Amino acid sequence: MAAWTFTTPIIGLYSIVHYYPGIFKAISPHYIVRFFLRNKKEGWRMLGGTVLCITGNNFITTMFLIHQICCISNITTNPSCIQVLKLCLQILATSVRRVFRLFFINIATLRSFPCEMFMIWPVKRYVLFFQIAFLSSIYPSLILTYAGQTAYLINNVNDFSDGFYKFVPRPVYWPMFIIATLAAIVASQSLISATFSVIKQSVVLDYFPRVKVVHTSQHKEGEVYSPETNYILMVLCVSVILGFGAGNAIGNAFGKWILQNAASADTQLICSCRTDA
Amino acid sequence: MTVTAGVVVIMVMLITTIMLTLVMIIIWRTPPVLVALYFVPFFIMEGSYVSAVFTKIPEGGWLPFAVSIILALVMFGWYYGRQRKMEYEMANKVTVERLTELLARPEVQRVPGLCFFYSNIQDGLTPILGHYIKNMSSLHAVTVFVTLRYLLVAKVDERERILVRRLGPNGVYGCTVQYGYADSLGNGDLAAQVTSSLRRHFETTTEAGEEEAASLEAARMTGVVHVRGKMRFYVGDDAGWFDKVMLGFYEFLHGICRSALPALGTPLQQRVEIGMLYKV
Repeated sequence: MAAWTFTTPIIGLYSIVHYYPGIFKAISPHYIVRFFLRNKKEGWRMLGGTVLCITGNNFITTMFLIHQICCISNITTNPSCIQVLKLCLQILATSVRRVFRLFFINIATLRSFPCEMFMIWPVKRYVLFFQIAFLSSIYPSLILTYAGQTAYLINNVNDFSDGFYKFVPRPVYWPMFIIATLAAIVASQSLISATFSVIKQSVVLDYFPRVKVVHTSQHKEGEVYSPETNYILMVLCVSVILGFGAGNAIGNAFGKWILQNAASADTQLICSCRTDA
Repeated sequence: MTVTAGVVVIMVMLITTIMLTLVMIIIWRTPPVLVALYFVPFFIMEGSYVSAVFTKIPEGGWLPFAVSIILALVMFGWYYGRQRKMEYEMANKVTVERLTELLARPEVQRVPGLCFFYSNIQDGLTPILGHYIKNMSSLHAVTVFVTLRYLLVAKVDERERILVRRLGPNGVYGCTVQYGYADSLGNGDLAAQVTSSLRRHFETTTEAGEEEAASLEAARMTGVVHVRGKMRFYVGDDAGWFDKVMLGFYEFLHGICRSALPALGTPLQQRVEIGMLYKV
């Protein structure tokens, strides 16, 4: 797993040096002003494309990062992991503001769940740990990876549809392919268990029809499995893939992810507000 | 596919921003100036992305909306049904005084046997009980009202597992079974556990304990029955269209989902389920 966080930035660096060393100019905000001045209304329409870019081509990266953060901060086993997962999606946009946001919302998450209010000290340690992990490894890793991909794409505009795999240099293509696939498998797993957590919380709060919830751990309350939810996810996921075509290699992971997201986007904070109030 | 994901991602960002603002205002009570400092720039940034992505909805962006609408309907239908049921139960719950009054009626007989009556109301007794006594004109000589309470701990200590208390009328007891998420309720004979805690309770509390313990034992020898009450909505013709649709939907959901009372390891031959219709 760590392999992913450390290999992608190396490839990113390679590609920055190789294709377009000046890529870090992109961090300067004056480009966006120029972009809008030049493109006017068309610029607004292009924003849509930008979003699709960050979600589409770098999907595996994101999936992995989500998992990575969960692992590092041991959040996968926590009922609030879904909130954190959601937050982590924001890393996608690779801008500094995400860091601040993550910081805020992570605290929000940790403060909201009643079962966690009893463990003040671990929570504090946990936030700090999360922040250190994020700032020192994941954030730089992401910046380098994305910058590298952009550097590659600037010189190979036609490869936009398969940015990630094209940007990996030939000799390391297969090793990276394996790492990426493994990362995606683990990451989608964490998303599925996150769905179980959300469903469980909703059932406890009487917001969702009762489904079977099995606690797989004797010690951690958040480790749950729900067979019915699992099958519903599977059916929805397969139908999404059949409906939208399986041409996309990452379609599988996408399907689950989309559904999980749609299911949980609003629930969690509403629930947390209620339990707190 | 990409479009679908894009819509979701950006919506999630926007929703999180709005939710966090709410948390700041309602729970943290952050000064409004700071809230505004956070909210305005993020909202503008994300709002512009969202508005741009909305132009892509026909190309596949509708999917997350469809899924969330379906889920929201399921959740709302369930919540509405639960709410209505809870209101009804609260308004019609049988108090101990009412129970005493019902049992004092001349036509109500106490039949020999031990009865476990399950319900999920924590304080007071389920309306189904009143319905049952009135229509059957009888109650078992020893009746234990069992409520399950789910605690947010892994395991409940053996001594706190089963809490028993004496309710007003003769031979009527209340019992709360507390369990944590790692406790399995399926194994072990619940009836035996409850009777032994009742016996302990008798020994420690009253002088007439021995007599009660004897009648409990006699009732147990005669026969044990586990009664579960189920309340369903009866949607009459005069119900509003909203209730008709929502409660019909709730009944459907209720029909296909799990029972609130897990299988307690009670023998199937001793189980009785009684139903009651609540007219809307």
